[in-house]
Amino acid sequence: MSRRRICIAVLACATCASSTALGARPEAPLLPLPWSGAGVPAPNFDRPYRIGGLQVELPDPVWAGDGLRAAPPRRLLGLAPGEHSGAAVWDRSTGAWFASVAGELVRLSPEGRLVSVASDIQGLDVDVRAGLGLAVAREDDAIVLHRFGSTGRSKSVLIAGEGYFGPRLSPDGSLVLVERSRPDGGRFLVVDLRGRARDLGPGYGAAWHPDGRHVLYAQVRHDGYRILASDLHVVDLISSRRQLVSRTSHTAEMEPAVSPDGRWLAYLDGLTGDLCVVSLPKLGGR
Amino acid sequence: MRRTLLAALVVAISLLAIPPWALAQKVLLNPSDQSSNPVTGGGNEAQYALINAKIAEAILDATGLDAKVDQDFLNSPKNANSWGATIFVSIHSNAGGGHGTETLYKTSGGKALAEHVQNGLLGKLPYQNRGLKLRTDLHVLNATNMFACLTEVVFHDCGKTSGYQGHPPSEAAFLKGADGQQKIGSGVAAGVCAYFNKKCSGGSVTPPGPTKGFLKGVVYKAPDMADRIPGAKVTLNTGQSTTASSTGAWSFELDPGTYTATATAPGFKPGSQTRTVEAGKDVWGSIGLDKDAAEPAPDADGDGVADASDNCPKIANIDQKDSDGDGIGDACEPPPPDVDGDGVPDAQDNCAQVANGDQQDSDKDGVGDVCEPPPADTDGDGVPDGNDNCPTIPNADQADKDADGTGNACDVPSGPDADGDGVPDLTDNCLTVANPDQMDTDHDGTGDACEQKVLDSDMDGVADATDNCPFVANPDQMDSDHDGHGDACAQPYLPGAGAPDAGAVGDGLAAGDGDGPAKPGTASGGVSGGCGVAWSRGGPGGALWAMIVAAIGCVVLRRRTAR
Repeated sequence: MSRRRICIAVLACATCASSTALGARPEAPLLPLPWSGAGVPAPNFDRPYRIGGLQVELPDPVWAGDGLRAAPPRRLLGLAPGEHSGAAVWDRSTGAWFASVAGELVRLSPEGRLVSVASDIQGLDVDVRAGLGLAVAREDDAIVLHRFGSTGRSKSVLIAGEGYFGPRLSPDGSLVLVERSRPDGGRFLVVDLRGRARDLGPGYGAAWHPDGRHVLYAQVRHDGYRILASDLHVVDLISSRRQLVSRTSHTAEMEPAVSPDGRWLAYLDGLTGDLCVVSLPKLGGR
Repeated sequence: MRRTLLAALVVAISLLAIPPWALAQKVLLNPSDQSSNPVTGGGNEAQYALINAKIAEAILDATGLDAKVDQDFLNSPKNANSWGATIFVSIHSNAGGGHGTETLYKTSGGKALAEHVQNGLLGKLPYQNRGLKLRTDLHVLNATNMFACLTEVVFHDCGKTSGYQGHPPSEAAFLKGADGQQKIGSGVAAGVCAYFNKKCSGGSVTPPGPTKGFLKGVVYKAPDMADRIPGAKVTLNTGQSTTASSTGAWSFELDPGTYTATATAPGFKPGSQTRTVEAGKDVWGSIGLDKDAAEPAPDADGDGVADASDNCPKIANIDQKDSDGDGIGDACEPPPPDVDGDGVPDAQDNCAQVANGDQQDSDKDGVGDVCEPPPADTDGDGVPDGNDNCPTIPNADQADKDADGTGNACDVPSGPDADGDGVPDLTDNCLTVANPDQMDTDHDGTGDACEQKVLDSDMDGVADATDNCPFVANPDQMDSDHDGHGDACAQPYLPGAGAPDAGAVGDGLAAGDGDGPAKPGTASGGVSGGCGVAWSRGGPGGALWAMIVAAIGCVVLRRRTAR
């Protein structure tokens, strides 16, 4: 068995073992990066590191401060049966996981505590820059900006209307990436903290590059039932230039997630549900 | 079987433990976006699916559920995830030459939902039941994190009226007609209502919307939301109140408006949240309560002074006394000297050398009783002088016959007591007759006992005081010459020279043996020296006489002896 297959087997096994984990700790464990070893060729879209057999319901690669996970923590300790909370998000400003629970924004402590840091967070889908005292939340039909901590407590609607979801703060917290579900196909946009929006066009699964300048997204083909194909693109927010990142016939690249150092790109293969990782080419230089 | 029952019981209990508010019933309806699929007779699949979804949405909203329509094939699952939808129902119509209704699912939870939706539709639609089908390749079923299903309500490419069982209209016509759309929409809604164990309201296209919303939350020990406060009381500014459940959850169903909820619980400071309630919406107002008092700092000795500031953390010393000001509480100082080991430091011991834990000091002179010098006992009889009724003479029995406070041993000797009546002769008013009572009726200084015996030396019946011859019986008192001396006393009387026996029987005087003249030198009392003459007690006259006679007699005798 090749080293690569062994590594993949280890990864898959580790992921399986984590499938029943609950609580404040991530449901999916860190995925080791064996390809970073010397002598191992960098993966690319034609030959990605593919991690199959994931037992998480919704593979959604996320880079935390300590590595890659197949999905963020979605179920938290300390909640009563039937009590909903949102999926956790990794805050790079504080190096901690946060989530919305019963109207409060909580930090997930390593001990399993849900430490409330802000209240009146009505939505479940949030993103946080706690170090900046910022949080954004999808609250019914609006994206709301919350300021808390030393900056004082306030909330303001950044953008309102049906179908806005998935607010994600830029690395520096100055912009919010928002997706919108529409009958004619989803779009994504960036909104500054004053609510000024910029429509970036059709796209699916938009995600920040750690440089805060580029946004990756997928263009998906489907038949109304199934995903047929998907490729990743990137848009430069300064130049508005768009660039195709991947074009493969055998993989539907979706849900891009770039490592904090910008070296790696994890994504979901919409055809198989596998998690893949490739070495990310430098953006913006070409 | 037993396990099944047990599992069912656990589930039932779990459901009972879930407050109604926790079962957020948000329904995302996802009509097909396949506008490229034409419907026989006109229109497209997306067009009619949207109508069906809108009808269902209205009914569900009127029923009190929170329904939302999203026709975006790719993004509706994420939208549903982001919104927190409870269920996801995708509404499509079929094609390919078949007939009837079918519903697709991926998970077991999705299957239960699919079954309800399928049954809801079959209750309204007169077409074939194609059943439930497992599908794992459908995006909306793969990308949703809640129970989901996709229903194919009819075959939109079936334009024949001879469809299933030949019932008109055709499925395509049914899909296009208002009546058919109403039935499809209400059929989907009926299935969803049944899934939530509710009865759908009306069925009208324009049912009245909900008029109330929910204000809900949990009460927790700030800042840890996982640490709930069951039983906390939550009161609204309207006066309504409720008690937080075992999970700290609470909920109010309210008319639209702004409310302030205040939570209270023993040991915690009250906390409040103000929220605006909208009809048909849930608004969260979880309340974190701070402890009423700061977490008590470690206090090992439980004296109420935290260890960090306790000058003696291991020994309770509420007063924190530190007499020497060295920062170490007295209670923790090395034990002070206590030579006698009675527990009282020498410095405070009123008798440092002798154990006296009670520190008794009867005379309050600062010196413990056990250290007081032993009481004086001069006579060594064991009775301290202070209590001794005769401190100088040992008399351990302290006898005090005359009860005069002076022990018998110390009663001052009072001289001879001739009659032995206890009254010294010096004070006895009757020397010769025992008269302890010293009665003296006539107050003449002579006790009554002596008053009764008139001196009558010669026993002639005439008292000596008036007897003209007191020592010679002469009852007749003959005094022929009237010289005052009775005839019986006409001759000079020389005692001892043939003189009448002074001690004659019956004269009342004891002289010698009393029955004959006293022999010289055999005096039994009286003056010694050979002149043993017993003198009787008598009046002064008699005594004088006796003295004179005795003196003469002694001179004569001495001269004769000298020759």
